Amino acid sequence: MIAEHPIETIAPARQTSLGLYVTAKEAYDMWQADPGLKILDVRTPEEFVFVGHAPMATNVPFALQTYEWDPEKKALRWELNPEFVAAVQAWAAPDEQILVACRSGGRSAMAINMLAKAAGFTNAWNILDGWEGSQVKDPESVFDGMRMKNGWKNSGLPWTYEIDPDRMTLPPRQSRTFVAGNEHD
Amino acid sequence: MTTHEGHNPRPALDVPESNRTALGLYVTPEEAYRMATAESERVHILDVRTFEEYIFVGHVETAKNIPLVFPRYDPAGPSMPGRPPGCSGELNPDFVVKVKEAVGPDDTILVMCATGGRGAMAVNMLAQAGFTRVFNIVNGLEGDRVDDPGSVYHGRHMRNGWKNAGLPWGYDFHPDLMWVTPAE
Repeated sequence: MIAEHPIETIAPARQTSLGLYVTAKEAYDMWQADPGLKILDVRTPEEFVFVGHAPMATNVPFALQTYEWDPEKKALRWELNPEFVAAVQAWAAPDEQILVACRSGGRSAMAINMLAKAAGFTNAWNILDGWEGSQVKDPESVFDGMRMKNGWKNSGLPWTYEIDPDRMTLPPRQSRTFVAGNEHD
Repeated sequence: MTTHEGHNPRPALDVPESNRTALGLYVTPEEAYRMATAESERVHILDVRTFEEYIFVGHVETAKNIPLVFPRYDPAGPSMPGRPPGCSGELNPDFVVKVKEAVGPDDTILVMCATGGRGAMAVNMLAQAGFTRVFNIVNGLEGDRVDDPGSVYHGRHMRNGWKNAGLPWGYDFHPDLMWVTPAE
């Protein structure tokens, strides 16, 4: 059911210390064969809600998106969810098989490495292409830059916007301050 | 009442109840795109969705994002219908102030949200603050959901709106147009 995924075919950002990899399609096939199989979505709660999610996945955010712009990196700063490892430990045993996904395979690799190192998880598989997949890189295409290359959604697998509160584990969060928005310049 | 200002007369728009505003000014995504492209200095696309929708769902690359509502989650706090316990939204107290800073008083504002509902709320707030040329972009960026249980796209935002019209959008970051704070 799971094809070979030679390490040289996997982008460094998607590699994990456990070396266990599947595609979204393979993950879904595995879940269909065993609907008790646990699938972990480590994206932000906002992605889970607004972008949509697989109905059988449980959301424990690995990191949260801040509103802070780093002009040097030309990126938004992330902050780790301090309760990530504890929440996953409460959900799955360290030797249990779990399949982990994010937007396109990078954050889920970081999450798996943290689970392996901090909590001794041994059977956590990275869903390489994630929920949304990679961006089309073809300037001639009308879909250039859009996430229409691979991943769970593009594989025609089931997803939804409907929320099951039992499948969301929200991190504690203090009220953020937004009043300084757009005052970076 | 539906009014429309433009060069190409067309039948009155079928504006959903949730999208209607006190000003009665509506444009389709195609019309909004044409107006903003033709006169980019004085016609502004204002995206009032949450910052998180702007970055994760994607956005019109020339649109300015000033969120009308911020998502909140506090395990001890209130919940919105259809959201997990503790999930709610909080009105942006600076919404009108920030729009006034970004847009001239006589400029045209084309307001966009996900499907047109929050956009209508935003238009009404701006109208109360004295803006008169504020159009709601009907059906928003994502458009309504397909309502056909026999369709594999049932429940997906694939019915109308900006994205489904084939108009340009992307994921790139434009800090001058985003609701960001400087990194510490």
